[in-house]
Amino acid sequence: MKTRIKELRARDNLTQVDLARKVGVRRETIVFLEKGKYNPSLKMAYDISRVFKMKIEDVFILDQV
Amino acid sequence: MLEINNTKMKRRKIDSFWFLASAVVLTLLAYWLYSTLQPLHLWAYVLLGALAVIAGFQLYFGIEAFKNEKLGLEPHDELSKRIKERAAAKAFKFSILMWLFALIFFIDLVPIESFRVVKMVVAFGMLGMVLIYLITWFYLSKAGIHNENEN
Repeated sequence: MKTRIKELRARDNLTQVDLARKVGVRRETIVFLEKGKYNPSLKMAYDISRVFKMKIEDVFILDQV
Repeated sequence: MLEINNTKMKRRKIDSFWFLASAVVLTLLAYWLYSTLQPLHLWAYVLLGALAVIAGFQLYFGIEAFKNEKLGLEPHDELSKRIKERAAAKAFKFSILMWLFALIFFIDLVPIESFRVVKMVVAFGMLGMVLIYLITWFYLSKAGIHNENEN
């Protein structure tokens, strides 16, 4: 799964720590998400999308359906 | 807000308890190994070395959690819990093989008297299991979990 977290973070001027604080996760989790090394739960994906005020499918992109 | 703070305080107390408990267990184990394996020989040093590595890993994970806490972040989240679960599952699988290896070959490989051999095998097995778990945990915490269906 690919994500647009890094791009959206830059857009909103947020650091990894800021985003982690808003979502309620560790900074390492944001790092793994940005690198596409972790598929988050639906709840976490929802929480992250809500921070960026976007839909889940606009933040997380599945490689194959 | 008050409820969140209470939850954080409770979790911090639980974390501190487990950190302290593992420190006590490791110290007692080191003392037991040191006092019962006298005079110290090569394998005793290997065991004590393994114990030091375990303490190092515990300290590393403790410091990582503390650093997150200091930044106002969660010390544990869904990824860290999944990593622990995945590490435990993998470590269990490897531990079965390790015990088989230890019981089949190790007893005949170490040229020391019988009582100590049994004790050494048990000590190696226990420390080996913990080490395998911590190394797997460390590896997964660096490599991440790519796919939920991965074994």
